[in-house]
Amino acid sequence: MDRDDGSWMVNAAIQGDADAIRALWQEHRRWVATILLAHKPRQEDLEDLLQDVAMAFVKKISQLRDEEAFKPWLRTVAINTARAAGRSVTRRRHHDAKLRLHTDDRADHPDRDRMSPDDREESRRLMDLAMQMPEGYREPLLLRCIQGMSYKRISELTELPETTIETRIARGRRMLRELAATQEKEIKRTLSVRKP
Amino acid sequence: MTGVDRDILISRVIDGEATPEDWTAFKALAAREPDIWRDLAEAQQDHAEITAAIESAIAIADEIEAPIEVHFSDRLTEKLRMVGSWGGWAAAAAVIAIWATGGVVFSPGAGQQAGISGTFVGTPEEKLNEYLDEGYKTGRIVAPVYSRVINNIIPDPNSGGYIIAYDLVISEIAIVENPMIEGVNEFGQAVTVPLRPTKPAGRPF
Repeated sequence: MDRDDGSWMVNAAIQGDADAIRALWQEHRRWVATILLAHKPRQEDLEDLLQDVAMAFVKKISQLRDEEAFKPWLRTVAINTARAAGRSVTRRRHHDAKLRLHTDDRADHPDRDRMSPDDREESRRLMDLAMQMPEGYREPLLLRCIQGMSYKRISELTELPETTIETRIARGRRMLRELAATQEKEIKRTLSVRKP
Repeated sequence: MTGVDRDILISRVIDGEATPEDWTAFKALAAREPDIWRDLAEAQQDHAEITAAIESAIAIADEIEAPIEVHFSDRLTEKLRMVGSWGGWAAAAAVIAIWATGGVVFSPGAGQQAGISGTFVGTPEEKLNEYLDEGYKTGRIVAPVYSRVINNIIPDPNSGGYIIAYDLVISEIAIVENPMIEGVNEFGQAVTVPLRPTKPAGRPF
């Protein structure tokens, strides 16, 4: 992490500065949410998991010894939280209506306002397909969808070489297209069988 | 060009990371394989749709704040634990009170000039110091008065500091010929019973 990349803020947060802790979380929470999306079980609620990560972040940031390790550390916290949720067999089930990670009907979200119902359905379908991809491809592909997440920044998070990230995103896109094509074929076949 | 190269080229174009050389390679490839334009369009559409889905799903993140109050609660608990390990919990609470309030203690010497007349006008702290001074002189106050047991600490949105709720502990003595206390007997009736020493006579404190 270079000096312009907020390492002073990470240091201040490690020292216990409340404003730095708050600001650091605000700066990174969107990609944390994306990591959770990439790793969480389908039925788990993203909001609950994010709150768990925020709690762990606040409680454990002071234990971080190297500010350069901040992003990989926070990513690990998010992945562990998602996996712990997956292992838990006693988690609540009452959120089923909002559990589908991409069926968020938040009317105030600008992207939703711009999207037609057909587009929303297509987005939903693609997210379903993305979740079928291996984690190693899914995570960088989803991260790339966040504004400002370059190959370099994803590489810093995942501690993988930039070229590996680039290859995984490219292959991930290919996989997604192939999955979509396969699904379209199946739908057409199903519809043709139903015709009298 | 291999399949992976082709995919990477398309990916770079979508992500705005294509160099002039990449564009040259892309155009050369398109001249041989025109269907790369269709692949590019499909991949671009997929990217736009999945981006919209992600943005929608993670919008909730903007509403999740770091629970800072947990941070301060933990720090206080840790400080108490550390001090408590060498001074006991009561001492820990006292020491923490001094630490948490910036080391301010009510010195027995402070406010001595004011006397203890009924016409005294001053701040509550000055009045308290006056009371303490008098208490030390008469022997009524028998324990250090810097003990403050913290009940709660919360951020103060107005000042940017913290609001600390604490009990100020002052131990006094009183000489009473026949001390009695009020209580409730086994029938639930109010009774008054003698209060007797729990320690043998001698140095009580």
